[in-house]
Amino acid sequence: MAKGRPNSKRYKYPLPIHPIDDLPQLYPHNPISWIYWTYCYVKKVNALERKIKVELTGKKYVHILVKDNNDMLYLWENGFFGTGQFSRSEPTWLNRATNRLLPNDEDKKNQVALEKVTQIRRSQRAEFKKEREKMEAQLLELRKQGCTAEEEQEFIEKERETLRELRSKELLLSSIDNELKFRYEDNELFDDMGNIIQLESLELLPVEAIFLTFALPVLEIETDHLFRRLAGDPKNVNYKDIYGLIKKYVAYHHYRSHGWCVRSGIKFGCDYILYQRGPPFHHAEFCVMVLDSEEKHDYTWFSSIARVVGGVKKTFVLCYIERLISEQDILKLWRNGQYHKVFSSFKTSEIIYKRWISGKNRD
Amino acid sequence: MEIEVENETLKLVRNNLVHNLLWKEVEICDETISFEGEVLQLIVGRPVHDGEDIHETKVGKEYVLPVEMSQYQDGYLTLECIDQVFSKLCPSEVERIILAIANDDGTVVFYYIYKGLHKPRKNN
Repeated sequence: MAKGRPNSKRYKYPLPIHPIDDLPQLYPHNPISWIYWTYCYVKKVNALERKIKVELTGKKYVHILVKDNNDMLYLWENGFFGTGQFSRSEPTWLNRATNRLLPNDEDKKNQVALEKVTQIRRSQRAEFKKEREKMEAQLLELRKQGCTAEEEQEFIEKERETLRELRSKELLLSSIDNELKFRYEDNELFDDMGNIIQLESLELLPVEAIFLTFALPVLEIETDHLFRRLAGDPKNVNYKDIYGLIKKYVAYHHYRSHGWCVRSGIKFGCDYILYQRGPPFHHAEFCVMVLDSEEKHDYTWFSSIARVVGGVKKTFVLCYIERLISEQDILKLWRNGQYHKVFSSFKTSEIIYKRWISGKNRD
Repeated sequence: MEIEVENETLKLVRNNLVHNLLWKEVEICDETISFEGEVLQLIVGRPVHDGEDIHETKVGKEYVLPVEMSQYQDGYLTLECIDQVFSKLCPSEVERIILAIANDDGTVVFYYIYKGLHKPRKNN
């Protein structure tokens, strides 16, 4: 992880496709400058040099995984796509595991050691005292038996020597203390070279994968193939098989194209949460629930979600999706692979739901 | 040497418990039941922080049931399903299980499910 790199640099771009922003300086009075500028402008492309590989696993519930470390970082840093399977959001498991199991980096060692140092020293001190007590008891026993002064002196010498040895052994042990934290299960984590295996993948939401395939050419997968895996064979699908996915995607695309960073809202019981820039910058401001324009719910449904959303100090947005053409037409377009037309046949409109408290909302 | 488990969700939750939450004595139970086309199998293990919470269970170990959830598809978890898990997969003295919901957004969330009514925990 790039430490000490300011967030504004690290997360410069809101999407994985970047604008052409490194054209040469143009000097208006110099014709050669114009020619060079035009040449650069024509030659530059902003497509990715290499599309990002994804693996699709699972049958009914499809999981879309990115396994390459650089690709995971790229998708995270350019728009905050996906979630590390063992992390809160950014995939950090490998770093944490490395810190835990191989803390050879001086910086990291100090961090880890601090919490442990006291504990280790206390146990060492206790061990040392126990040993000393044992020796003292032996000396007492020796005296009882009526030993000579020389014999006593000799024993005390030996005692000192033993204790000194114990102490130096302890110091040695404390430097390889890591092995104490090593668990049997951790064996699974090492390859033949002694490196830690990356166990974590970045998982993309189905809607994120659609956005990075259908809307932006980022993932190395055909749009048709992705939809086939997510919703089934287009020849045999019913409207209700595809509608759930369409509804969620239309809302996702709507917010992404308006510049929001959209992430899963599962922790707050809604569909999406919206960040102005991304998780490292601010808390999410809005919780979005995606609904069909005809959908009806009783009051407790709204109020329970609104209470959760209010509890985390966010604004609750109801995003209604309205179909503009018939179900048959949608199905026809879907079967022909005209996804662009499918998604543009829906309209979104929003309502903000806020609890009104007479005592607090007077002004 | 990665552990070989066929069921991806089971493997994901098991690895999460062992290598992310650092649970101890984690084992995948042998018994399975199938419910609406899904194979259900428990994972048993001991959480690292033996807080007050853990002592509530007589067994001392937690039984974890991995299930899947999707943003755009219906789930399969029902009361009947949970009943079957308690009666067929758990030892009879188990009073609660932990539901591990693997979502399609890469998160696993955990919830307790009790067998019948349960006195709420004191809020300290």
